[in-house]
Amino acid sequence: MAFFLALLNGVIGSLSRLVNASLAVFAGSLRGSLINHIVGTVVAGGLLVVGVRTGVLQFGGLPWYYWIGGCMGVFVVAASNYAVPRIGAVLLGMLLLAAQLITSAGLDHFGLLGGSPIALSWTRIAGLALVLTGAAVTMTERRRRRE
Amino acid sequence: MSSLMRTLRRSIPGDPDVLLAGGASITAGVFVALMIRLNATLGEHIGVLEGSFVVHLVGTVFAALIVLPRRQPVVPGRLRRGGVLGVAIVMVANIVVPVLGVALTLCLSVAANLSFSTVSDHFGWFGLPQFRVSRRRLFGLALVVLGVVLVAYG
Repeated sequence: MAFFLALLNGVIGSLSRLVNASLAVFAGSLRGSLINHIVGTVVAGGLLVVGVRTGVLQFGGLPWYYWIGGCMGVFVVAASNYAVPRIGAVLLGMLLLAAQLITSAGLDHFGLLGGSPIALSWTRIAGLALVLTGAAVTMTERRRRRE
Repeated sequence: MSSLMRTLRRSIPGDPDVLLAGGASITAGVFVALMIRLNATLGEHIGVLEGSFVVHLVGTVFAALIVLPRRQPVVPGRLRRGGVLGVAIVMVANIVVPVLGVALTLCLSVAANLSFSTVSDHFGWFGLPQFRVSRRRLFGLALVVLGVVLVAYG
């Protein structure tokens, strides 16, 4: 179940990237990100206002840094903005993905920041390396447009 | 020739511009993983939708601080759908991460992302240019899928 939800999220992710790409052309990617967050706040807030609940919105009980995930998303957009003209989209993508996978494996292995530990085995390391290699093969492809 | 030299010079490690951009890319990647973990724990604590709301609210404030409001362009409604998708992405991730962990969640999302964009490119969906799927691309996707299987059962 969670497996399929995660796959679904990847699909939604590429959909939203498509929408965001045209939004970025229109408004610039940082401002595009601002618009995204505003719309997201209004939609999620609206759902909460009409009484949709999945938990209890309470402050306290968690250290402050659990609340700043939203800032990081904006930073990622800003950093990509900065990096693309300097090192290119492919190198940016590869560095971003490599750093993501290594960090996530570390977080899982030690069960950091509220997760339950998932030990890092050699199989898991090989799997992460394959994902990165496969992404590199795909992303470095020189593509010819079909007429 | 001179442009080739310029590119070569740019790629020499030690060029502060390139190093800084590389560092920014790596930091961004680390932040993606951290963000997903932090959001998921927040979601477990206050609920997945409530978590998504907080993430977007905080992101709005932070983005507004960076983007000094100048002339605001009027954005067509169809381009605002991205924000709706964003709420769904954070919610679904909040449900998935506590079950699968951060690494597998990210690997699955990469796999689905690449597969979907390959299909979408092949048929030229969303009014975008059409790129026929190549052998190289299928090979890359196969590697990614194999990697996901290893991560899932490792």
